[in-house]
Amino acid sequence: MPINSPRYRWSELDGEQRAELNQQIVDLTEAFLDDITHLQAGQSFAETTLVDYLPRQFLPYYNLAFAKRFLLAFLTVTWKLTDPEAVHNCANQGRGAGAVRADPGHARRAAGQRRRPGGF
Amino acid sequence: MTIGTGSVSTADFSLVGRTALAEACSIVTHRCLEDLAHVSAHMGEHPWLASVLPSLVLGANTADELMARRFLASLVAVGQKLMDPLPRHLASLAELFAFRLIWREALPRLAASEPEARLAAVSRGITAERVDLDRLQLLFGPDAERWAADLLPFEEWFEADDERYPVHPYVALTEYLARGGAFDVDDGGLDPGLADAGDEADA
Repeated sequence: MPINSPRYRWSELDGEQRAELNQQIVDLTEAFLDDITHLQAGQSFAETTLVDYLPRQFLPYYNLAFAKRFLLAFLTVTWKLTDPEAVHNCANQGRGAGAVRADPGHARRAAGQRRRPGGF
Repeated sequence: MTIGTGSVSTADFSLVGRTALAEACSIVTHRCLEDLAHVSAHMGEHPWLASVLPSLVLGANTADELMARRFLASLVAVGQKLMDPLPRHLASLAELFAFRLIWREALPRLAASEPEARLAAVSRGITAERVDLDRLQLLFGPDAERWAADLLPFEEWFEADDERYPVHPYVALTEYLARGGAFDVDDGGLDPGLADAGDEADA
């Protein structure tokens, strides 16, 4: 599945679309990183933000190791989305890209709950 | 700064060499992620990060969660660039540090699988105006203080050197946060080159 194309690049998005995508990149990265810290501390996967972006029927299989790999896939996708030097193929990071496009309101609310003092 | 040149890059490595590089990338990224995952147990400190970045300039920033997260994103971007068959640009000093970690991790296996001349050529291909791998290494030696004076200020480690080659979007978008300012998700909050570089590439 291609990300970017010679015709449709990051720059094809208008300002509002780019702002929304930017917001999601930051919010979801922060939320998924927080999830990993919380999972490491013993929180259940069902309480994570991540679970809202994954098929529920596989919940018993999700664990900390999966969350780490998913985060790396997500970071890879966000890099590919905005990489000006190449047209990328999305290997198995489709779900990560889906998370970026998913309900923006939810992502913002989820990240907002964990906002650090003085942060955004 | 680039990874490789027009005539030599990591894509010229043997399958064993490329595998070693990919595995080194995975190992280093895993260590960084572990550092982040255990931050509560480590009382907010990042011991792994503190051990691999020059202590002289890192100073009290080992407890900086945002820096650790931005370094992870830089590692991911460098890993992607390393796997690209074409020469790619390292965007920032942080990416050069990330590359150095991956390179050092892979070097013992690369030394066994690749001709010395090829390794040296790729290593020399990592160039920048003010710093390269050799000079970076001096920051970990006995005269670190002397060489650190030449280094970019810590606040600029994650900034793109050249607007045509942006840093990872998470790194770019959190620049204002890292400087203690307000967050801005408009294009102004992103590396200026990110919005325009696509146009240039299309031209």
